[in-house]
Amino acid sequence: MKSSSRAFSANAEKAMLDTQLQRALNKAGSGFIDKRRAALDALPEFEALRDTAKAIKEHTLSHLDEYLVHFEQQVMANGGQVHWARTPAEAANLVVELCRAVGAQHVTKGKTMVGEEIGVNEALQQAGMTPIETDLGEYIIQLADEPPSHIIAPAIHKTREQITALFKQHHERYGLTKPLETIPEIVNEARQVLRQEFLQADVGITGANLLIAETGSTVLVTNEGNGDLTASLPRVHIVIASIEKVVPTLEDATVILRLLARSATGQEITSYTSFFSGPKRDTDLDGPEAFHVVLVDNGRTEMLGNDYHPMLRCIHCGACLNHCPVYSAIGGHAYGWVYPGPMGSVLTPLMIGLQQAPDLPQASSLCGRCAEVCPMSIPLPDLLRQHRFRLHAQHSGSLLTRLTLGAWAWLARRPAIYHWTMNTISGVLHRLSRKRGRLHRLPFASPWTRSRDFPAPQGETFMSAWAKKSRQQGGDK
Amino acid sequence: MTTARDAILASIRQTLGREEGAETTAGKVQQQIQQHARGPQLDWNEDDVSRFLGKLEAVAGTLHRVTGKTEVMAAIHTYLHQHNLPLQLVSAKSPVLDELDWPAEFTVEQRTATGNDTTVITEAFAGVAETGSLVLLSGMDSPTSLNFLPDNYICLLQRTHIVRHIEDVWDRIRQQAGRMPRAVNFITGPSRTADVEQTIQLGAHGPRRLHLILLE
Repeated sequence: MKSSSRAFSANAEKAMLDTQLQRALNKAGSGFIDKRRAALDALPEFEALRDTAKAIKEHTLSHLDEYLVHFEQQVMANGGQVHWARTPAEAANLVVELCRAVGAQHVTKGKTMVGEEIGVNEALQQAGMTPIETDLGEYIIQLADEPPSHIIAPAIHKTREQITALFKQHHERYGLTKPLETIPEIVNEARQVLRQEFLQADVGITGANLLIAETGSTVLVTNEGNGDLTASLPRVHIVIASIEKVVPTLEDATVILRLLARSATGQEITSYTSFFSGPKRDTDLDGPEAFHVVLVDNGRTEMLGNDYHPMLRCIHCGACLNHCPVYSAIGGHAYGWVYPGPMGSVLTPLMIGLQQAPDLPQASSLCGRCAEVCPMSIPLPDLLRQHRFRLHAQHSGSLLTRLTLGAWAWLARRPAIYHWTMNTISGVLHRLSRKRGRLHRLPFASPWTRSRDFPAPQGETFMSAWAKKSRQQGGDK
Repeated sequence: MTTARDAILASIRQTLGREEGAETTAGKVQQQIQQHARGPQLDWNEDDVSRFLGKLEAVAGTLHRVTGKTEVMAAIHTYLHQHNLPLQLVSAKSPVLDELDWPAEFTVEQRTATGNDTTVITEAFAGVAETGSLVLLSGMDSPTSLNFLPDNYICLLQRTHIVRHIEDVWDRIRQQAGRMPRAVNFITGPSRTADVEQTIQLGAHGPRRLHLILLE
């Protein structure tokens, strides 16, 4: 997928002014947050599960080569095949070749974020085998020719009216012209259209939430059932998965599944959690004749050995997006690539290059909510800070920013001068605000004051108030 | 030419600072896999059957408890009548399902599902008290398409097949099947989506309704 992450600032500003988007984001509101909270309130085992899940992942990562080889052996023992890809291009080519080899006319696809990462849709389209997205959210944004804006709710940025308009435009060719209004009508029409696609597909492509070394199984978690129809009805099932998805056993997968749906949608388990182990057996009446797993690296082996290693624990639940004040304000598209929100701001620079996404690590107040809710205890703010260190070391950013940071660093190392300066600035700003508590305009801070007031200090810093109080109390004695 | 496989594995080994197939770690991996160590499990106060049924109903599943095989047919009839459905079913195979004495007005076929089947009946391999899930295994008696294509999904479950935790299902599969069937489906309620304005709507692509007949 092409990136527009370099234009993050402009993207973000546009998103803030996009009334349709803001309406959709408002509607989404705190739904995910409240549902997750309720699910975790009913799970006293949460912390224990979180610790165990982290330990499982760390153990697996420290033997990643062996678990991948074991997984591969088991897939082959089940009659399936494993293909390895270092780069997105290699992975996309593999999928195209697999589809071409069976003369695929119709390809259906379940939601796969790694599929987005490797640009599999574009590659198939170029080869004349346009895949049909079957997850309702993915289907909607495919009609709109847009990338997903959330890793578990790809069309969260679309309003009902926008969806109705898209269906009207694209479903006419199926003879469906009845105007739609309600959500059940929308869902029903998509069901009707996609049902045909499921039944006539030659190849089904899905992602995997987990890979199980013990049994060579791929795990797929969905609510709609589209993933299972994609995996079961066509002649060929292709699974696209990144290498860090592997866990040792079914029991280990169970631990992570207990965290995944609760963290994502607040469900205890999704409607469908399926384990696929190879192609149709002699005794099976249905199922695909061929089963392929495409294992994608795309920079992950590198992460294994560097500071970003904890990011490989990510299970793509989306909790960090849902709890991020920045994501909630601008939505996912502004981030400019596949993964938005805090996890995206860590991953995107690692996958497309820091210089291609220099603003993403800065687009965070480092409030820490993401790390707090992460079921895999990934220290996201620390990882964002790592990116900032690297950016600074690479002399990235404007001269003004660098000078300001340099001046601040100088000041912060000299407490006496620091306190005097802060006292002075806060006094001046206080007087400038004429005790209204806010400033409409401020020299050097126009990007801030252009869109909102600057809160003025109350005239005294905490340190000076503290010193005054201590002096008074000392005098009282 | 180095294959992508070799390159990826070599890169991982280099990062981890290990030789290929170093014996100590390979043994550790084998051991880890064979142990099947369980992580933290959920606990509850009520009995497992109540828990299971409560969870199933919480995700919009409906329920009919019957005390003997002879009552299964009546339960199916009641359900079809209630929803004004034709007396046509596609049935999976199982000792209980095969013994059902279908009245003449019923059309029942044992086969895989098509896109036009309105109602299907299957028998679950297990029910999981922890989550209210029904577990279906693919096989010659139980084609996977039955679980996803029909609008109405009726599933029979024997009370004795209710297990406590998800891990108990793994143990039962290891004991009874030896290896994982092609597909293991945990089904927890009917198909649903929240992709339009985060509003839950049942019947996205899979069954619109899920009805459990619990055989005591």
